[in-house]
Amino acid sequence: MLSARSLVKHFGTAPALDGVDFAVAPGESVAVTGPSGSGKSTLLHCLAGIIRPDSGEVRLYDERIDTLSERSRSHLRRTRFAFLFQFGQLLPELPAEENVALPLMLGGTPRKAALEPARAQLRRLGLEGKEHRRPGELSGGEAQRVALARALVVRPAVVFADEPTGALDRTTGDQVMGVLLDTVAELDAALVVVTHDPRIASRCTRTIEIRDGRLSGTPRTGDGASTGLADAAAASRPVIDGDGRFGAEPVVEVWR
Amino acid sequence: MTELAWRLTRLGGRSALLSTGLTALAVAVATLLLQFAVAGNFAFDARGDRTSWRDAPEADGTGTAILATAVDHLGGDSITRVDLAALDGDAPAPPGMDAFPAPGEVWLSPAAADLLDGVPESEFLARYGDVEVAGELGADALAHPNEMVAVVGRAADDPAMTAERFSADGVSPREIDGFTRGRADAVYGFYMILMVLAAILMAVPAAVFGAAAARLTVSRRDERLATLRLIGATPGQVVRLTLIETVLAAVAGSVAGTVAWMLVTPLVALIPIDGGRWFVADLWAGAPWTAVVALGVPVLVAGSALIGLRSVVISPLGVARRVKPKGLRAIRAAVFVVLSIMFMVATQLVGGSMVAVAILIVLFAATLAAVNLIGPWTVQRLGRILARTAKGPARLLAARRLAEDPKAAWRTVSGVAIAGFIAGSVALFPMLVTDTSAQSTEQIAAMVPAADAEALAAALSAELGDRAEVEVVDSSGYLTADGDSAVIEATTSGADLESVRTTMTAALPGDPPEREIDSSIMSNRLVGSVRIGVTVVLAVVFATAAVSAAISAIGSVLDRRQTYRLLHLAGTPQRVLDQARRQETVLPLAFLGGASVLTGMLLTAPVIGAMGFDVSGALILGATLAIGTASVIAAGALSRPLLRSVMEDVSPRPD
Repeated sequence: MLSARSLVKHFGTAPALDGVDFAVAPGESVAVTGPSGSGKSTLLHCLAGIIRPDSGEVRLYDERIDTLSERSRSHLRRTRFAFLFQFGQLLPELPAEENVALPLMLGGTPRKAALEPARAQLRRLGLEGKEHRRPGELSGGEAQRVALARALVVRPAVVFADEPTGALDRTTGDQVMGVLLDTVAELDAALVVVTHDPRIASRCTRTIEIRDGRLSGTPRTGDGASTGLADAAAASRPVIDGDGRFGAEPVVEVWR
Repeated sequence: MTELAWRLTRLGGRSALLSTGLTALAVAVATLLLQFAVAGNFAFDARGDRTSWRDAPEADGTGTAILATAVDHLGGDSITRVDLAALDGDAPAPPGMDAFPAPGEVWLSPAAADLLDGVPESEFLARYGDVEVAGELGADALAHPNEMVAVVGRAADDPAMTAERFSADGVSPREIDGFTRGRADAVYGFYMILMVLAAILMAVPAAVFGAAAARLTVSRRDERLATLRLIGATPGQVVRLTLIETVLAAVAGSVAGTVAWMLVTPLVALIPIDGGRWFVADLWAGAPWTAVVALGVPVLVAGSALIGLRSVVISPLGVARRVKPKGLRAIRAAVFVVLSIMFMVATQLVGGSMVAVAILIVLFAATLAAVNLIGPWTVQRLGRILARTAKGPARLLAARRLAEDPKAAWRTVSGVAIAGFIAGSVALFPMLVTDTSAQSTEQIAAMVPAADAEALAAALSAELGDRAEVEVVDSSGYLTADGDSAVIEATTSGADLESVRTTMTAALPGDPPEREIDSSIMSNRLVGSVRIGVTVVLAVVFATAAVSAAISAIGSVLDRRQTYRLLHLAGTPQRVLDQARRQETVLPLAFLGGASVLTGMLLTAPVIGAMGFDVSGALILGATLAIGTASVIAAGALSRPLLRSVMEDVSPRPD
């Protein structure tokens, strides 16, 4: 469904991505791991159409999205993608239900019509009775579930998450991750998670690791995730051409 | 400690430097305006002092000279005349002259010399007899560079040196010892009251804005300061660090503002009030007062920063968390209403004494300051109502922001609201300027002692011949005969007006003859001055409002850059955010602008409403609102490029 080929992105002279291939299918969840500064977030930004790669291409349902205008990419992000970040994504002055309804309203849905699915989504995530609270009045886990509700209310094709549980304690993080995986599966959406946490990565169907802008190691394929796309991704691992500033990276073990 | 504070500022990145710079800029603007407001009060004082020699006190016993004054008119202009006659050789030289004027000498101010250049003697100078222009008056003799003054030297037995003056504008002949210890003209007292009002109107928004800017810096520092607390800094250390940082910015701003004031003084001196521009030196409040303002501003800013710091110092954790916005209490509205009512009642009760005027001014200033209490309260109510009814995302975001942080929204619009208040206050002030040019037929009249009236009229009639018809009447214009005095009136053509007036002035000692319309020259000058003053105040308030709007718009983008960035990532178009931010300003502006105009009208209607309505007030009002709204919106738009760069900032951060 979402695929990328030979992505290269430089910030200044340093390569953040140096020929990365990637693919994810509906219902699949991919964990992107790697050390700090390895290019995980850059990959996520390229895949989501937030930034344009210097070369390479990104396709959603066979349509190139990296060449679209900023306006069209914004529209795409609003309608087909959803995002979940570590923290800070909720507007502090809006009550929970309005935070969730906001993407629908941005799409032109009138406020009343937008609030209905928003409340339903909050109920599904166990936030009944907290619709009128502001982010500051919610616990970290609750706030993250509100952010999740907001991500899912537009019924996205792909959910991008960047350290979604980074600010939560282990139990709460596990809960949020569980809800995230369940609902994404329910919607038959794809999930791309950038994470440091091996426990999160282990719950995804597949894990890839990035080091210095390149895919590194053999992707771990989770149980029952032999969709073929994962194999394709493995097969089209970038050829290390020595262009990178630090040269070829040694292959490393992937968690678990 | 200072070094650490400086390093924190310098290394705090672009946004830390930007916000510190904004504080310094805001303080600079506020200081500039405060220096202006303070200097303005001294300026009228300087004019009053410099012209007080014309009302020098009566000598004990025998004086050295005789002094009398009058106001002569030429067309639509008036020329202050000072008649001087030496009683002995000890008569001191008057200010601005190097010798006591001898009989037959006329000394003119530069402006009067310009005016009389080309005017035949028979139309003006002959009024003083057979005279020669002997010199030019120096600046020490004049209220301002454009003042028209003629000092006429006369013999002690000249009738002009004995005839009583009945006009309020003249001083009857009196023996004097010297030209010191004179009384300043009452008009400067009146102007100083207006100037105090203007100073309050300019200083209150400037001070509020300067203080608010300081608090803005502190709030942007919240997170970092909380971190410092977490790593073990004591509350005292955090307070000191922040104060040092803020005060450094404020001192820089205050110095810059003071220097800027000195640089623009020659330009400000061009503003014509009471008939002329200023001597630049008059706008210098003196080193002590300038220093008081320059030092007072950073102190005010530090105090404001301390208030802003309370939340940080209480808790190292609490600042980043947002909770339900506290409702602003209705007591704010109550205070404003009570003060307004007190002001309105006071305008009805108190008389014209200085104490009463002082009470009124204090009440007025308090009411104006209380606008800052009711303002945020109103913004919050407005935000809540709009949030309930909003349909689109931009309106909803704007309304929730208003309800969440009404003080920030108020800071942006308070300038225009206060400008609207001023414009509303003066909208009803009649600003009619009367046409004083010569008509086809003119009547001029003068008061003379009743006993001499017939004889003087006959002599005058003989001298004027067919240029005018002279008669003794009971009243003409504002002049009315009583037991001791009579009115001599001459009817003439507009073309002969000045020559007839010249003949009459020479023949009739005492008050110079005048047309009824001549009294309007003074009121025209006053109306003109008030109009210019109002324009200056409005311009200043708008400048404050626009700068404060720009600064708070930039500040709010910086404050919320994380949220904006993430909203952009999630596909929110900048258009929606721009729209929301515009509405955040425009909605309260439309509501409060209207409300403040009405409040201003209501408050001052009892004082000046009775004077009648005049279209120029309505014009000022309309222009005020249009320019104010446009400038605030334009200033807010200045932050759009910043918003774009903040939104699209996806530069690599640590994963």
